[in-house]
Amino acid sequence: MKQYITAFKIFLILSLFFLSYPIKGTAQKKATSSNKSQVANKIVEKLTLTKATMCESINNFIPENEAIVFSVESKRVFCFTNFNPVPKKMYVYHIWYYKDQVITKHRLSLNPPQWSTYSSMQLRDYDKGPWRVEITDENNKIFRILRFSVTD
Amino acid sequence: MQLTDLIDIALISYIIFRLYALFRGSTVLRVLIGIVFLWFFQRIASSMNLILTSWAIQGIIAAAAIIVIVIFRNEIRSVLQTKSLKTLLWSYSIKNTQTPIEIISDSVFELAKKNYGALIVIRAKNNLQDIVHSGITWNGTLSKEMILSIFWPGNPVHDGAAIIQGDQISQVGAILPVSGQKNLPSQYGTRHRAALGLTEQSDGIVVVVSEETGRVAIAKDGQLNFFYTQENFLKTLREYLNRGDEQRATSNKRFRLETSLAAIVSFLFVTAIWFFFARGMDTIVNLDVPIEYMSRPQKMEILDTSVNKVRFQLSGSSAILKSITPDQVQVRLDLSKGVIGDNSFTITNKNVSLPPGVLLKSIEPTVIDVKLDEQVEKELPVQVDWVGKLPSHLILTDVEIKPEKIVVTGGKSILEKLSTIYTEKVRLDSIEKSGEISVNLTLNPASLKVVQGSSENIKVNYVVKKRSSFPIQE
Repeated sequence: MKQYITAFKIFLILSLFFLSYPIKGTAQKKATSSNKSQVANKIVEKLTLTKATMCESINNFIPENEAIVFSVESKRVFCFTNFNPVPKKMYVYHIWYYKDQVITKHRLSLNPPQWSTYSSMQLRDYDKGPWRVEITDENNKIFRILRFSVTD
Repeated sequence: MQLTDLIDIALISYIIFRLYALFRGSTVLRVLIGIVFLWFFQRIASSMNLILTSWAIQGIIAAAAIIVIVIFRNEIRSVLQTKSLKTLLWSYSIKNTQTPIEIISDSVFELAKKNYGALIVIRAKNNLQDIVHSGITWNGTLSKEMILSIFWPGNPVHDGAAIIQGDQISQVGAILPVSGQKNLPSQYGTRHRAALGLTEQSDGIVVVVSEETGRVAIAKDGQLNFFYTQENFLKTLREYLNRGDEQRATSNKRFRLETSLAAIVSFLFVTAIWFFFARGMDTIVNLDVPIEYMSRPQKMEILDTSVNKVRFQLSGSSAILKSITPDQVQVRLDLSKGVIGDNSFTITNKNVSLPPGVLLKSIEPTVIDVKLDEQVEKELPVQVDWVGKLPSHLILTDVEIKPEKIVVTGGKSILEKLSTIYTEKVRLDSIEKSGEISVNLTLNPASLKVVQGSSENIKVNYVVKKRSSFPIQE
């Protein structure tokens, strides 16, 4: 009987010892994860524009025939933007100007972790002339201005 | 007619009269009179719609005016170089011209000094044609130099007589009849006998100068009298010819009459011209005049104005109104008291300048609104204005602009609305490969200016590539 009690005590001590190790590890893991996420948060909190271009078409989210001059014969022109990273779901704007006059403003949503989006405009004869597209965030901070012309 | 008009006429009349007084006797006056006549002909031709004639006479008058100055520069210079202003404005000299008797007297005694023989016939009333023979027609104006040259021993006609009629030498080398008197002193030479011969047959007077002795004598009515002093000679000659000082007095009188007549003519002439211009004071015309803005405050720009010109209703003689040129009628607005924003300025007579003889009847509009703006500077990005068409197999992928931004100055309200400054239009048609071009900026509105130090010339570096695919037509 005494032998079983002693064995049981040893088993209990050993069990407690082995059980306490994972708790410490988990805490460390949690502690490390929380540190990591804090660091990660600090790195990814800024929305970053990685690519912005005007192009004639978009195929599988790849811009084709990137240019700064577009003929009205191409009928449509695209403004392609890629953001990486995107910290959270947010919105950006593509504001289209013709000779310093706002013609149209597109509100585009972005989802993390990275996102490509585009806006476009149909071209008509009276659209010939100098244009620009301002890419801004919700606070009107301008990421980039793309300047182009529509010609014959 | 007002007092000012009378003063106007009097001044111009006096100027014309002075021109006559200064250039009297010279060819300048004749030419000037000719030009005046040409001017009248031109006015008549113009009123009769003779365009070619009027144009031709205008050209002649313009050329004549220049030619007069060039050709008569010496006469003009001598007038302008007069020592005193009084001479220019007031001198009224009576010419101290010699009478024919005085000329003869001086000449004769000059000949006597040189022992040149001379025979001078002074014609009275009788015709000498039947008495005098072989005379050579001369018709020269009487002068001392003329007489001396006629009786110079080397002159072929010096042996004959000179016939004087009035102030002209009508004949030279004339042969006079010799006297028929038989008891004449032996010292009388041929000349003396010829002198006596003529005076026995006519009422003429003959002056003799002896070649041998240099003595001077006058023959009249077959009698010869010798003179040793010029004064006695002159006195006797005057008595014989009954002319005395009358000649000089007549000359002076004639001069005064001529001058008075010139004064009256210039007055009448100017008065006629005045009426020509002044008549028809009720002619009315409308004229659009651009507004001149003066004394704009520093650091302010004119942004906008309600009008750029005003309409004047003018009255005056038709001749003056037709000849008005744009620079003679002006309206000026002083902006020195203007402020930023809207300003209103009223046009009054003080703002208007008109040529003399023209009256302002009305102005439309009388109030001008001027918008002034503060002048500021702003940095603007430059964008190329591409036009035309690239070849379809090419695309323009990139452009580099130097400088990328330009500082411009202009009205604040204009620059507030501007975000970009564009270049002049750049054609794509001739572009086939990448390259560089220089273009100028287009400053719109034109009141914008590039600040000193910045260049309006932009360098554009463009990149052209082959198109990878053709866009799908929708």
